[in-house]
Amino acid sequence: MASAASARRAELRQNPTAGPLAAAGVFFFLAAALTYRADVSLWLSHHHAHVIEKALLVLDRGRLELIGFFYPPLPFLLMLSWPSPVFAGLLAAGCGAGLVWILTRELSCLPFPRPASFGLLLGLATPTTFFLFTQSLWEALLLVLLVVARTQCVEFVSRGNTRALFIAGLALGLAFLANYYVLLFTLPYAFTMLLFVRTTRRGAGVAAAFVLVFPMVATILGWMYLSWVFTGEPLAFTRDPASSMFAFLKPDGADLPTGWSAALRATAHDVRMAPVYMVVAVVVAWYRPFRLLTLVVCAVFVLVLRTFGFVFPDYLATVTFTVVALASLPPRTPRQLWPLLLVTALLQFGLGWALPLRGEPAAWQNAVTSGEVTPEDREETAIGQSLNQRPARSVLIDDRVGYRIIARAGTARPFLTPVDGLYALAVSQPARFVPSMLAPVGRAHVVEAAGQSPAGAHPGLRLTRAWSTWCLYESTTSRATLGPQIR
Amino acid sequence: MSDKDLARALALQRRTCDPLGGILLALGLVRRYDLYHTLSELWELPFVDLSREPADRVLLQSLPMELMIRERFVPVTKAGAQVTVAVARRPDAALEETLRQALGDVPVTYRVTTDWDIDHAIRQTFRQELIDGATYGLFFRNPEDSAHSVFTRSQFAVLVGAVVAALGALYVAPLPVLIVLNLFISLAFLVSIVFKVAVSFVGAAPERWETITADDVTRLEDHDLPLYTVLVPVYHEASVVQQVLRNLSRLDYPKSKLEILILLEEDDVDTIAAAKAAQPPGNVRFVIVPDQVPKTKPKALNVGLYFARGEYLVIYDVEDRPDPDQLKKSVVAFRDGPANLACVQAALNYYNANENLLTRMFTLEYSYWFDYLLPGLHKLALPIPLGGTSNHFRTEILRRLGAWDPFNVTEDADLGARASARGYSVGMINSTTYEEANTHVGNWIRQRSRWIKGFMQTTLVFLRKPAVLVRQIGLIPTLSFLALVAGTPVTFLMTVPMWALYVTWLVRGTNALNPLFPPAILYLSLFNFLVGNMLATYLGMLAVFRRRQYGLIFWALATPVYCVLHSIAASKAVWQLFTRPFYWEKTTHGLSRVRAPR
Repeated sequence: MASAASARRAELRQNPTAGPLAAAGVFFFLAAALTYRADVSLWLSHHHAHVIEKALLVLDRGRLELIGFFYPPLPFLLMLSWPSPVFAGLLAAGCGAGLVWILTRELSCLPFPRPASFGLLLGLATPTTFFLFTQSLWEALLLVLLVVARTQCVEFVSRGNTRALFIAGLALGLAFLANYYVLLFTLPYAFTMLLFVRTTRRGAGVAAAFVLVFPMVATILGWMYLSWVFTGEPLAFTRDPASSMFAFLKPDGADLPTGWSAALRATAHDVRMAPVYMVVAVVVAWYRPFRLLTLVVCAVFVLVLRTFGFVFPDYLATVTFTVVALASLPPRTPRQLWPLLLVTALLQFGLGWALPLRGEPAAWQNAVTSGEVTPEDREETAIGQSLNQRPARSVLIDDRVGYRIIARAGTARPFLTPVDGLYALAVSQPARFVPSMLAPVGRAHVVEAAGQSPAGAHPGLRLTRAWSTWCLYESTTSRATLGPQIR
Repeated sequence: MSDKDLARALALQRRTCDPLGGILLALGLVRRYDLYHTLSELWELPFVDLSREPADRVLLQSLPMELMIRERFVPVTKAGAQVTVAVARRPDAALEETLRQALGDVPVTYRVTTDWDIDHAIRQTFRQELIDGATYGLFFRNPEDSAHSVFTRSQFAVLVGAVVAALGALYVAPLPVLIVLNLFISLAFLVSIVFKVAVSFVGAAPERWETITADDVTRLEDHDLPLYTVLVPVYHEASVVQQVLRNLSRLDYPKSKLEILILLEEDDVDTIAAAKAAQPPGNVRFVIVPDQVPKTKPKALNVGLYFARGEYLVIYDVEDRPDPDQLKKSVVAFRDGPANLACVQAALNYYNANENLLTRMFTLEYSYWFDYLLPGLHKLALPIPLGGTSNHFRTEILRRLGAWDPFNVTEDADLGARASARGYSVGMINSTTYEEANTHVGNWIRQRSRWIKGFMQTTLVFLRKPAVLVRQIGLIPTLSFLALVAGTPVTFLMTVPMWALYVTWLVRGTNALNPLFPPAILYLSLFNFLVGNMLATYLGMLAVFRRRQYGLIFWALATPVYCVLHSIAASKAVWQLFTRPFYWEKTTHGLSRVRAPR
């Protein structure tokens, strides 16, 4: 016999009310406005710059297999239709709106007054959330797909609807193409299947878990296969310098904070920034202790990842904790608890706006509130704009460090990058193959790790323009005109 | 007859309001001959044994066969103006009026005989008409509806033209032609994948509620149920004929309202003998199908349809084991459905799923097809290619549609499409019939090649006038029909060549194939290869999960290999389409070592 709460949930799912749509619409509108503001201020996140640059390269070169070097591919594939900061922001905002829509529908099932249920979403109306859902498409995709999978798993477990299992499995499979952390977060889903799927026949739980994880396993194998086809190495995508996968194994990642104590401190800080998570944990522990596992597992995963040196940004942790908490509120939460939960959400809202952000989110907040960006941001834009009219493949650049320049240029056409066959030759003798070369200041190499001699030492190249972070070298001869012929 | 039996029959009569005689007959409590003898005494009319006093053939042929079957009478003799009519029902005013219209104002005397004798006399007298009607009925009504001509002239011209043009182009510019061919194949796979996934996604939704609930079935009153005809074509299946009677006896439907017609081929003496030896109850009748080519199931069904009196009609194969409440669910579906609902299809599945790899794969496929794909088509109001059995019809509409095409070897799929084209709808009911899955690869390929050949025949029939089809059913349903009925053979056919190319590339590492795969086609092919196979496997998994066949889930991983078998069957089907288009590849039943559950 279905409970009143599950009946209401079912009714809501079949007859979505205007509330969730309105909430999602408001969120999208705000996120879109912030995207526009950041774009006008010339602010661009590293992740979006990276994705945009890859999309521009593929569109210009016409070969999709260039992504054989790239992970995660889903944001990149989505960006192919319009590789620009605004579109990336809108896509992320769409993910956020989707998440809000799902959460609002879930919260509508609580026996709270409707404004109070919706008010709980204020816990998410913080700068960190908006940063994530405007400037970090891959993490936005991860979160929304995880929430979709969770909702559908609940639907499947409670009502036995195999279409829900189908959607949940596909969502997890897709999520791997957005962020590999899904591998870890899938475990509790599969475990839930093992524990809760019971029928008159044996083996239902194992079968359900298998069906759930199958798309993700297939996606991993499929991506490895593509990587093998295009690069000769099935795991090449794990070594993509721009991907944080196994970052701790790379020299660049050596300075990542690892170890229990550092990870614990960081995670505890993130939990403190999410009072909704803490209060919901207490509520769940009191009324539905078994569900507490979901909340605890989430924090433990973040802790474990950080302990082993994986990057799990604080803003992502805070938003994840809050989303998981809101989605975990039992439908039978006593009605009298709504003031407590609402006050907690307001507290988190206040904390989110009052406490200063760190790192990239702080720079973004500064850009969208005061319109100020760093001189490097302005410079990158200026460099990109000044080069984007140059002939095809005329500017030698290593996009592993210069991806922001290409993203700012809005086209990959003028640039000769490692995906081009002539790149290695051009690096060895730039003056012979390209009219210009862009290298970071202080490195004086196109490829830092390639052990090339300083650019200035190359015969035929001279420094024509220097910015604070980049130097442009031009050929002194007229022979270096092979670039346009490359195609 | 014991008092207990009589009490049972009387109880049934109270529930159904049927004549007691029919109930006693259906329960097997009296012999037909004895019953009608008794009835003749009750009605105070003399009895006539038509096997000893045969009816006058000329007189018989002067009346319409269908009328006599429907009204249960045959004229026996005519002496002067006086006509003697044998009846298997009590003469009443309605019958008198019917006879007056048929025979004119002549004096009529009645005699009583059995319904079997009436049917037999009609079959003997109208043998050639039955053969012609069952074989060419549809063709005579509208040749364009029949697969009698495999290709029309214009279709043949287009086919030859296309082949010649392709060969010519291949000679002039082989690479571009091969690239275009590759593109066409890739697009066909893509359309097939997208279409099937989208439809299955919709089809998975109804499981959230029971389309027809147990309460709906319980609410039906026995006396309110119509006569239901069950057609069971049997050929060279003497060993399983007993089983079908046992399975059908499980149906939860008043026996007196159930008319079971076992369709036996005239030359199949073993099965006829086995059927008689089974001594079925009186509601089971044998219809002997005259021995003449084509010896196909649809022809036998057409013969059976002549003798069907039920308001609704269903087809079961000899090894079928339908859910007991299936007929009642069908009645609910028809009563609750629109007036143009011509047919409802029940799901098919297998009771010997775990027998071997083939039966496992077959079960995976059928679970997907009947539990996801067809319900999806139903929900989207798209044409449904009916399955071979367990399709329930409104008998009247079935006759109006021209019944089955004996020249089409998937007469069921053809009929479903024709129903849509004529403005009727086809639905699904949440009931299952369990069958015996093929256990032998050879037998499987024979069966599958027939199905694929039938799909090709159906495609050719409906593409004779594509514009008319679009006008009749709409653009989207036409595209859906093409994606499923035409697309399935195409994708099956292309599977082995594409796998061969892939394995060649994999093993030899050759670059010779690279020119055939320019970037766009390469990406399309990779998508089809990776995503297509993944989704096909996944849908199979989900379908058997829904059926709670958990042990089969892991076998879904073998789906790509199973597709190779399809491809072999499809090649055979193409060959036969040109060489033996109407040949019915008989599926041998009764090979399973797993006994059907009782």
